[in-house]
Order: sequence, then structure tokens, then C-alpha cells
Amino acid sequence: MSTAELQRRPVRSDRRRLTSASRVVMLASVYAFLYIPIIILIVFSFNNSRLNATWMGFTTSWYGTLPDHPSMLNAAEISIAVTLGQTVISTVLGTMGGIALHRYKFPGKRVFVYFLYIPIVIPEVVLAVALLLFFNQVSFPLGVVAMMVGHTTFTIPFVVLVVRAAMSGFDNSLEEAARDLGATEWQTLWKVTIPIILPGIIVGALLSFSQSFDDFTTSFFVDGMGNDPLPVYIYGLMRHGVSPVVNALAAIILAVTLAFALLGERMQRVGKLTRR
Amino acid sequence: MHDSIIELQNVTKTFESNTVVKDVNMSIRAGEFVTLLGPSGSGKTTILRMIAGFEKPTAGRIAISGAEINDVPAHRRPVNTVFQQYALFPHLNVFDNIAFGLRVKKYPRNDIEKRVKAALAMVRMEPYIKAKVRKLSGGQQQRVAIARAIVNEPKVLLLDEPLGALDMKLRREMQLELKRIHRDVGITFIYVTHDQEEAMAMSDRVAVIHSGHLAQFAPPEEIYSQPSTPFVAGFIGETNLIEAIVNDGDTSHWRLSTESFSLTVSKRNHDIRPGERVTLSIRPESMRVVAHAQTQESRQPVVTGTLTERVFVGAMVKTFVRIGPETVLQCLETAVAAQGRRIGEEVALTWNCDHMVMFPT
Repeated sequence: MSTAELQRRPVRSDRRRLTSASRVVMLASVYAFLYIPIIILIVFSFNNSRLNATWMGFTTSWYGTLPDHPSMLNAAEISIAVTLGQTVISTVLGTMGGIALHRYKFPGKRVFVYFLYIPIVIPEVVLAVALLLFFNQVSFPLGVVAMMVGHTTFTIPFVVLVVRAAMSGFDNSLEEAARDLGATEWQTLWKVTIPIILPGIIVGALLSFSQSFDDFTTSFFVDGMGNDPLPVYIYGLMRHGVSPVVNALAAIILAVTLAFALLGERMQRVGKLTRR
Repeated sequence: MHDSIIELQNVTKTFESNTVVKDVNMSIRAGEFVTLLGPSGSGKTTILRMIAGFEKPTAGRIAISGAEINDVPAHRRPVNTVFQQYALFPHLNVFDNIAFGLRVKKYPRNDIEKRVKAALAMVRMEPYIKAKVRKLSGGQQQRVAIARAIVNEPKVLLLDEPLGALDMKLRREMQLELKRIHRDVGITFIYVTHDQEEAMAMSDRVAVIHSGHLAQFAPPEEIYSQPSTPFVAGFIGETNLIEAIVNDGDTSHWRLSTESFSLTVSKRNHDIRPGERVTLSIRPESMRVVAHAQTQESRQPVVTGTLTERVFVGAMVKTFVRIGPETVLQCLETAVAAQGRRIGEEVALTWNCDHMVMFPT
């Protein structure tokens, strides 16, 4: 190494340190932008004050008072019913769709896949209005079942895409082996295909669950009278100002949704590790 | 006829516009070890998959024990397959993998356990009964795959290049194992491979498949000594193929000429006509290098040329001799006989015409 090069080195490393410092600042601002509102919400759910303005000390009493709101418990029950119901529907249909999309070649398959993405990208309010019109047209009563159906429309694509991805790592000769050993197509599906892609199916179900549980727009349009799930219920509460009870409730919803999303992410990783 | 377990009659398979199996006729006897041998893409695996029920013949008839099975789905055929990549169920352990077929057929519990243990003993894998299949080595997975198939007591066991993924040493070991298992269980084996040595070593009969056609179906010795086509001659072992034309002859012999030499063959052994074009096949080991000066008294052909290369193959030496601008012949000699020969030397080659095979071109 020449002397000239040696002299240049500290300059270069200085510049590198500067770059990394500015990177930290940039990253920090992005994360601040993303998370500060949520952190404030969580912090204020422990605030010992009726107002969301100033910090008056720590309390968990807001969480304690949650069960005292019967309408809130009702909303929670509706949310859970809708979410579980639609998770079952979207997981079953989505798994079937994902396997079919992987296995069969048919004309227009590519178009079919594009149409699966559309419910994910179109504005949800459009979907919600469409659903409302549809339910009116076919005289389908609004309420819990309507919400299940409505949520399924935008959660199915997630399940299909995840299951299809799981199937792409699936060795087709395993199904042939099962058939060769005397299993019918049905037995092959239950004893071989589904157990092997189960991690993918569970990830799809968890995604579907978390998408549905915090849905506001579709629920708001099709929930009918007195069937508000949690997000719609919270919106109703806001008309009387943001009380710390809402903060506590929102924090719980956040925790539940995050738990499911993280679980799904973990399952996906485990699935990848265990696959062959 | 009635002792044949598998019968293929005029079986043809076309994928879209591509015919991969063309009018194949085969009759396989019960208990036989038959190998379908051919280069990749020759259609041998498709034949196996048609017998297994994974593909349906486009035309022709497949029968097992005299009953046509063209329309019988794979899961109701009395055959089982050992797959190329084993296709063991990754979510099941060794026991559950082997028990799979018995369970879907609703065998009683005790019976399943007894049979699975017997199958494991057959492939010498008893200690691994509870092992996860992912933890097993390639050779062990292979054994489990065989046990999983034979536990169902199929009439025919189909093996699709089962040793393809194993290294050389393990391959040799498993070849012997498969021979032993075949003897022990006594069922018919249909084995697919592209490895001619493997086919020759293991089979009672070898079916050579060449671009969808059954080129020859015979015991290994016959395939080697009396190949039916130049392709078979070249694919099974090595050979020298030489184009020749029949000129004329005397009362007992035909005179043939090639690009670079002429020879005479006995009329008794060869049914040919003057003017006919033929291909000669001479095995390297039936050729001998003789000193250039040495002249042959008999009717054995003599070809002179330049020694271009010598390669040691084990205890043998492969000698390449250029006899014409386009023609290099190879000759396999013992290392002792080949001693002292130099590259560039002028040599003569000779062979016994009884060991030469002639094909019409």
C-alpha cells in the first residue's frame, strides 16, 4: 500500500461514519413516523386521567373497567364470531383454490390469478358498497353472517396465495406415492397433501384472521343494526370523545392482531426450515 | 402365455404431438427381474408409469395376470413403485411410512405391525423403526422406500432408477441388496435405468428402449453378443461400428469393402446380397493389435493404421487406431499384451469374424 493510499484512508472512514450516522437518523425518523402514534396510544391507555391530554400517573384501571361495558363485550363477541367464522370459510376455500391453482393447468389461469389480487388492491370502500348492494339485491340479511361473507371476499386471496406458495415446494411424487400405495384421491389429500402443506395453511388462516379482526370499512357497511364488531364500536365511542377506555381497547386489539401476525410469520419460517 | 404376469400389447403413448412410446410389445413372466434400459428421454420411465397407472396408454393394451388394466386407477392396481427420489412422506416416521399402504387398505392393527416389522427386517432397517425419514441417509431412505412398497405384497414391483441418487459404492451395495430382496420375496421386478452395467448385472432380461421403440428384449448375454441393432450394440458396452458394402463372393464367402479396408465373411453366417449396405459391429475386446509386418494366413481381416492413443482402464489398455481419415477403431487388450507400444506407431488390427455382428443399413 502506498503512502498516498494510507493518508486517504482516515478520510474515507470518516465519510463512512458520517453516512452511517445519517442512516441511523433516517431510519429513526421512519420508525418514529410509524410507531409514535401507536406508542402514545398504548402509553395513554395506562394514564390515570379521563383526558388524553397530559400524563397524570400510571394505572391499569382502564383495562379493569372494560368488562363493565356490556355493549363492548357484545362487540367483542361479534368480532370474534365474525373473525372465526370467516377464517374457517376463507381457509377452506382458499386452500382448495391454492391447491387447484398449483396443480391444474387451464386456459386463462394467469388471468385468474390476477383476478385474485384485485380484491387486495381495490379500495375497500368500493368493495364494501358493492357488498351492501349485493346483499340488498339478493335480500340477504345484514349482520354477522353478512360480515363473514364480506370479510371472506378480501381474505381469501391471502390464503390462496400463501397455500399456492406452499404447494410450489411440494414434491408431486409424494401424491403419486400415496396413490401407488392404494390411497384414493381423497385419502391422498387428507393423509399426504394437507399435512405436508399445513404450515402454509395455518399461515394463511392467521393472515386471514388478522385481516378480518381489525376490519372497519366492510363491517361498517354490512353489519346491520346492533351488530357492531369492535372496530365499528370504537368508532361509535369516539363520538363522545376519545376516552382512555378506547385506548385500552385499541391496545388489546393491537396485541391480539400482532400476536396472530407474528405467529403466522413464525410458522412460515418453521415451515421453510422443515420442508425437505 | 398364461405364466406372463405383465403383458404389453402395441402400447403407444403420445403427449400432445410427441409420441414417446411407440407400439411396444412385451411379455414379462412372473418372478422375473426385467430391466427397461435406455438413454434419458427414451420412454422407459413412461412405460413404467403406464404400468403403475400414472399415465394412460394412448393406444394398446396393458394386462396384469391376463386382466386388462388400462382403465384401472393407480390405487387399485396390484403393483407398487419405488420412486427415483424415494418420495417418502416427510411428515411420517419410518414405521408410518411403511404402514401407509396397509392403513389405507384397512388392515387390522396387529397385522400392520407384524408386516411392517417383517418388511423392515427384509431391508435390514429394524433399528430405525421410529426414525424421522429426513434424518436418514440416502441409502437408508432407499431401503425404507423398498420396504414401503414390498409390504403391500404387490404382484409386480416397479423401480424407477432407484439407485440414481446414490454414490458409486452405495450403488454397488444396493444392487446386490436388490438382487437378494428379489430372490427372497420372489415377486416380479421391473427396473428402469439408463446405466447399462447395472442392467446387465442385475437382470434376467433386459429391454433396450430406443426413442420409444423396444429395440431388443433378451437376456443380458444375448443382448451383448447378438445385439439386434447398431444402437443396441453401441449402447450396451462399447463397440466399433463400421459401414461396409457387399461386393461379390465365391462359393463359401462374401467379400465386403469399407472406406479403408476389405474383408471376407462366411456365407453361412450372414444372409446378405451383393450391393447391400451393412454396418459391422466389432467389440473392442475381440480385436487384437498385431505387429505391422505380421501377415495373416487365414481369412481374418487385417487393417493397418496409426496408434493414436492409449488409455489404461483397470487392468486393461484401450488402444485407439486411426485407419482412415474419419475412422478410429478401439481395441481392448490386457496391459501385458499392450506393453511397449508407442503412440504414432504403425500397427495392424485383426479380429475373428465369428465375433462380428452385421446389421443391414
